This record gives sequence, structure tokens and C-alpha cells, in this order.
Amino acid sequence: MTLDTDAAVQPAGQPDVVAYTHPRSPAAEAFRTLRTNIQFASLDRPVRRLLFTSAGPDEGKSLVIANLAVTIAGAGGRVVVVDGDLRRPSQHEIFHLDNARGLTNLFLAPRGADGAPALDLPLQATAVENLWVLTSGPLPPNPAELLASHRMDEILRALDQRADYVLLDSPPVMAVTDAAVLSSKVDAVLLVVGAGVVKRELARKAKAQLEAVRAPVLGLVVNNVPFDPTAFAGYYEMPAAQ
Amino acid sequence: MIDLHTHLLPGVDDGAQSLQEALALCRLAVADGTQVAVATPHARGRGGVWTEHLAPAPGPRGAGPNGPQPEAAGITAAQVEAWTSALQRELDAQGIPLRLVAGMETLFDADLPSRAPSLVTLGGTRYLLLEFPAWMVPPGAAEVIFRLQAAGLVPVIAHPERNDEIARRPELLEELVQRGCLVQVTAMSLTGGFGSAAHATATALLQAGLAHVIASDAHSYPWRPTGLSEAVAEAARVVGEAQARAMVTSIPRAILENREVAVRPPSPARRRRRPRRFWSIW
Repeated sequence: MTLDTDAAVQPAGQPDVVAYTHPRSPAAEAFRTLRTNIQFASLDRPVRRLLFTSAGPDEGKSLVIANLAVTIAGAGGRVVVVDGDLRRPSQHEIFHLDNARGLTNLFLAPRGADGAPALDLPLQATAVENLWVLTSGPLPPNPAELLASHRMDEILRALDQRADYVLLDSPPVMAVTDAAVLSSKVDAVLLVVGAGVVKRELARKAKAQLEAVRAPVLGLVVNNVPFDPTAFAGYYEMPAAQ
Repeated sequence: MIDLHTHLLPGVDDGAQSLQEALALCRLAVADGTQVAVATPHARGRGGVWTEHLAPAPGPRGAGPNGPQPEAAGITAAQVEAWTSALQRELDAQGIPLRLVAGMETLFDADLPSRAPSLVTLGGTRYLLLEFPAWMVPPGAAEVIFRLQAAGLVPVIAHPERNDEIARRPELLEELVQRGCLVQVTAMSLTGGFGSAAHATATALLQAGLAHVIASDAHSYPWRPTGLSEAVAEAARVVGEAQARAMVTSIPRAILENREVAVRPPSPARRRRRPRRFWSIW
């Protein structure tokens, strides 16, 4: 553990992601391709709520979400990243945001004057225009119950009003039920597969598990693929050249 | 140095019983290099055990409590403020250069979240010094802590090394730290004054990165005194000089200034995966 009392010095809202720091890098280009693929994946039904999950931990889904969010926002789409990983949240760290208030606060919000639940979304703006983050908030003892609740439906509806795309982070499928629960509330599920991180069999099982609950699995995002940037030297501008 | 946890206020709880004793503890703190001490009397009233324990307060402070209050709604922020400034006036009069801050040590109770707005925090910040019963981590602790956090409070768990259940199952504390709690270990636990079990647990918590603040939890002169430097030297052997100093300087300062103390919890996901070797059994 390190105690980082200088955290406030870091620029709040600036994501530590390649799509932001090196927008002309091959990796950023890959995220633009992913954005396009998602847009064309289902022309008949627009995909607005996207859930990202993976078989196990450390496959990179949170960074994929943050990168994709920056890429979509860069093209003018309004994006909200929702940290639905209420067990090991990380979006507030990626974007350097405070996590004292977030998604879970909305489950405890007092009812409004008319008896309807007050929905004051604690969205945090970022250094990227058109991109907001709803961090996890304090970690609840019963994440799956919260995510399964009607309140979560209300929260997602409120988010739909604010954004063209809602990108949801979630815990690994094989570990806990949260992602399966959330998959019933979204338009598309993307399974992030960490190449060299997860066993093939586990990734297959994760996909099967999502399909078993009729999750709208749109496809896979293969992350961590070995890549030799010198092969494209001169064609793409390299990070080092910036 | 800053001492976040003391029972200096005379006659309020089981801490200093007289003004003389309070002043002796304050002098000792100053001599050891403490500049700021938070007065954290036990919250009485519901869930507090001090209501029965208390003898009628001698009360050199005028505003002091006249012994146990039958309605026992717990002591209020205004009361602690008044007692703290009364003792501060005595310190100033005696020329003892110690700055006092009003706080409280709150005993865990399931109804704390419903009382969140009136709970007395460390210097009026978001940080709540929270004590578990000595023998257990109460069932439902995660739920209560979640609701306290949702109300904007950050619990600072007081002396978990002296909690029987945490001594047996440190992973309970690890979970609370992952949930965003901070942890205060008591100086005397690190120096061995509470026995070998508390010492071993305190050291293990430091090693695991599960402790953030060292405080005295001073109660009496000379048996449970103020003073942090000896414990800092002990902690330095485990976590290094810089981190041990931070536990009595920059971290408590950030707390009293109501700034965020960014703790990177020791989580399996972030631990460097080192190849296991046959000798790496500890």
C-alpha cells in the first residue's frame, strides 16, 4: 500500500488512457475502429447502453471503457461512464476523480417532495468535452441487489436523458453475478478478453454464462494483443514523436 | 506531530480524571514533540458504556457534565467544543504549547447512520473516529459503514489491533480498508504496552498496509500516557522512516484539514504478481 497524500495535485478529470494522452497512436486508432464497429453492429436498433465485462479480473475492461468513452466523446457523442463495479471500482482512479459520491448514493437518496425518488445524478465532468463519469460511490455490502433493483432502472433512464451512450463497467462474470444482472438492463454486452491473461476455456464459459441469461452479447474486445509499433512507423504518428 | 486520539478532557469519560492529570498528559505530549491533539472523549448515551461508569464529574470547566445524564442522548458537539476550549484556556494560561481540537470516539452502533448529521467528527471534518466492541466486529458493520459513507463520513477505525476478532481474522479489516475506511493503531500497542498479542497484530497491520495513523489513545498519567515518538520509531522498522512519520504528521494533518487521504488499498488485483518461490511462505 502507498499513501498518496499528493493525490490532489494530479489533474482531476484527466484520464490516464492512451486515447486521451496519445490520440494519434495505433492504440487510439484501434479504439476508433471499435467505436465504428459498435455503431454498425446493430443498425436496426441503436445501441446506447453498453455493458463491459470479462471472465476474470485484470483483463483491462475498465481501461477499454475509458478509452472508448474518450473516443466517442471525441466524435461529438455525449458519453457517461458508469462504474458499476461496486466491488473493486477503478473509473475514479483512471479519471482522477473523487469517489465520495457516486452511483451507490442514488440508492439511498431521500425521496423527493412529491414522493418520487429524487434523482440528482452526481455526474462528474472530465477534461474531455461531452464525457462525464458516474463513479461507484461508497462500496455497498450487497452490490448485486442494488444493481438488480428497480431503482437501477430509474437511474439508467435518467442517464439516457443525459447522454447518447452509457458505458457501464462491471465486475468479472465468473466471479460474481453482478454483470449478469446488469446485462438484462442494457442494449449490448461486450466481453473484454485479455490476451495472454485469461484461459480460452474460461472466456468461453463467461460468454456461455452471459448467453444463458440471454444477455445481448454484441461481441468480444480482445485486449493486450502483442503489437510491434515499428511495423507501422512512418504511417502513424508514434507517441514518442509527440 | 499530531495526536488524533486522546482522552484528555478531565472528568468527561474514563480518561483524565482531574485537571492536574489532563495538564500532566498535555505536558508529556509537548515534551515528546506533539503540537496538536484531538480530544476524543467516548460518546456516551445509546450504545455507550460510559454512562454507568462515570463518577459525577468534578467539572473544573463550568460547562462540564454533572455526572451521568439519565436521558443520555450522548454528548453533543457543542459540549465537546466547550470542554475543549476550557482545557485550551488552561493550557494557554500555563504556557503549555499544545493546540487542542474537539473530536469524539464513537462506539459502533447499528443506528449510527440515522444519527449521521449529529455525530461528532474529528475537528468537524468528514472523518469519524469509530470504535468497535473490543471482542468483535459487529455483524452488519459493512452495511453501517456503507451508510455512514453515503452520508459523507469517512470512518477511522480506532485501535483494531486490540480487537479480538480482527486479531484472529485480519482480512475483516482489509475489507473495511478496501471499503474506504482509515485505520488508527495505538502507540502503546506498537511499543508493547498492551501485551504481545496487540503488538503482533499492530505490526502485522503495518506490514499489510492496513494502518494509516498512529495515535496515543492516552487515558491516564502515567499509565496510558501521551507521546508518539517511541511508537513511530517502532513503526519505522516495519514501514520505513518516511511512512512512519507520515502516520503522525502529513496523514493526520490531511484528516484535520478535511482533505482526502488517498489510500490505495492492498487489493489482490493491484498486488504485483511475483513468481512464487518455495521459500516465500511468509
